[in-house]
Amino acid sequence: MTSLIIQWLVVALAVMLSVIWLLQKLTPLSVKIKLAHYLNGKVSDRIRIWLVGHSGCGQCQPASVEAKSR
Amino acid sequence: MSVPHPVLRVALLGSPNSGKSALFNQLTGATQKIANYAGVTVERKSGWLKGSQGTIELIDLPGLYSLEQPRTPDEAITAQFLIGQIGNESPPDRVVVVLDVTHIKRQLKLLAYVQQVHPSVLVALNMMDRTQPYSERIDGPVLARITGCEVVETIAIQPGGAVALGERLLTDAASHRTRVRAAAQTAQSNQDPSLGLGAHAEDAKRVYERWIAALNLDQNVPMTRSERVDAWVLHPILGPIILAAVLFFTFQAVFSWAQPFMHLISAAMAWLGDALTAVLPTGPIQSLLVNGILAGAGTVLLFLPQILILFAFIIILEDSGYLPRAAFLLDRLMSGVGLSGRAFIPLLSSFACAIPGILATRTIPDARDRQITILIAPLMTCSARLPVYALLIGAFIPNTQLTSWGINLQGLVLFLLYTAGIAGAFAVAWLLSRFRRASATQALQMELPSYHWPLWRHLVLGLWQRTQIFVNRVGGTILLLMVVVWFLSSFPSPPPDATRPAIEYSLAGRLGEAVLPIFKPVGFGWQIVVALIPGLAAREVVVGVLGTVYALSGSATEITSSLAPMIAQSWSVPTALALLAWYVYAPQCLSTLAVVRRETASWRMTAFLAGYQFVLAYAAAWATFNLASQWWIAR
Repeated sequence: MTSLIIQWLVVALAVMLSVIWLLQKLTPLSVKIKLAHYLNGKVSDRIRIWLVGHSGCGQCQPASVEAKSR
Repeated sequence: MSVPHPVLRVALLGSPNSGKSALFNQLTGATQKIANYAGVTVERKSGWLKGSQGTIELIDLPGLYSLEQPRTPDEAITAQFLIGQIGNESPPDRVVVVLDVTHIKRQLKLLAYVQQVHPSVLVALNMMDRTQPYSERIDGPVLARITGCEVVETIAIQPGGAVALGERLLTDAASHRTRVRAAAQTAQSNQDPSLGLGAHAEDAKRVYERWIAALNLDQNVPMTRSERVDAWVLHPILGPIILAAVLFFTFQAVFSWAQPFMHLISAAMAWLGDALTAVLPTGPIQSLLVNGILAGAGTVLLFLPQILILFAFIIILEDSGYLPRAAFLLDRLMSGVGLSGRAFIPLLSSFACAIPGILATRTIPDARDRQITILIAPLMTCSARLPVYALLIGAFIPNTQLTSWGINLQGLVLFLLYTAGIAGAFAVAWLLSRFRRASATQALQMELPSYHWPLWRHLVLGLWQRTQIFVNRVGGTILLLMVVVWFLSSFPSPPPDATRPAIEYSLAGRLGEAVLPIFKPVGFGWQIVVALIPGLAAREVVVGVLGTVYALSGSATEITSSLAPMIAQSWSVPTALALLAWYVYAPQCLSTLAVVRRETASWRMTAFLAGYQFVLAYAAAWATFNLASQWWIAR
């Protein structure tokens, strides 16, 4: 029974990650930037970048990303 | 990535096919970046040549035939760049004019012109390894004496063939920096922008005529080997026959030669499926790996050998110098349907993928010509369609020899499908050109390179790149889609009293049933409809989805290697033919539509492309299904 529950959890995680990565791959860059901008302040920077797959525009880019690009 | 501060900026300039980019790659290695000039759709490449004497920024400019009357945006930009008339950008400190020694008579015209507008010109006399009609008369020292330019002999395609040029440039960087830069700036300040480049035309012409006379290039020379071959290959009647035979042989080989390799991949997939089934306990993970990923992405991977054989032929034809001849042969046909001669290269690129083809339309100067080429480029059969064609042909077309000398029916059908795509594109181009204003015809101007044996290095590298692209697609978007499709095809579970296969109660099954009425008139079942939807992200996904859908419909042991026989049992022949006809014209690629939107900056144009392709695909599938059904009943 425990084994089956673990299997279901693994499968659910695989499906969820696939959906997120697919959406990231198929979403145009301009929409990603707007979405990252919209989520700015609503969730942490790390989650925002992980979810959207982009660090956002000049206004909402985290300082760490900005420093890296310089 | 940190960008080094260059000591000198050197532009590489030359006619297309003169070996400019090969020299650029030899001198800079793989460290190159792409930069767009604002507002224009022209690309140039920059790279760095580093030595103990300093660093040189090398700029590879688009190839051009003349500076006198730039006809396309890329030619105009190159001309303006040379004299520093682009924004605040300074002109290059030196210009390396790459001359193909086998076509030196024509290319000296460009050198004469560049010499008028830039004070620091170095000539790279390229392709010195080739037999050429003027070999007894022209070499580096002779050309240097006549033209007054520094000349370095190069062989761009040989490793080490550009060493002398690199050393010369680096020596300049160390010793002539101040002089060269000052001369270039003086020249820039002396240019009167209002006069344009045309002001130098007369001087350049006089200089060119003097050089031609001094080098005795105005005399007739005996025909070269390439010219003798061209007498047959470019013959008005024999030429098109040879071209058709070459293409026909290519498609025959795609089917005949790939079989052993496909059997190997298929056996490996079947072994992996059996191993996973044996090792993993029955449950969702086993189902996801075996029925979802292996049956889906694995089935797509099966078609890698056919794609590689097709690209091997394209690379060989390109490397040998035959493809420009094909462009020349098709030019008359293309102008007959209202297409610009310059549309050939974008359309040819579209056989790999429509996206680079659409980007390549940037070289077409007339806006309406460019629009028409963009609108028909997705009708060229891209490599993503090949797995779908191969699956359906393998399942429904008998593998019979039509003649004793090796014409195979499957290869013939593949050839006809490619031909149908080209014929459809030309018909649409002809129709669209009826509705446009009259404009000056842009003639095709193209340097025909000498024939030579393809290089193994290029072939292996090209095939390796195609393998990487294909495997990345299978391991990326396609794999992710397969996981999602597996989920949609597995849930919700069927009710306890279910009488039909479980997949018909799933989300995918219900979605397929909901959309089915639209596609029923063309003979598609719900499984095909389910496959068409994720196929919008990548065309070859259709094969993977069918693999997953049929794997979930049957037992886990009969997957991956048996999709073709499975669909052969489930579908009628008219349905399979209708799906083939649909795929020749279908607007099934969101990435292509996104690129069309970006390149045309018009949603209307994008919607028109998707709309007309849908109507064309639907009409072709409907007609094929009904005609084939009638024929099948009457038989």
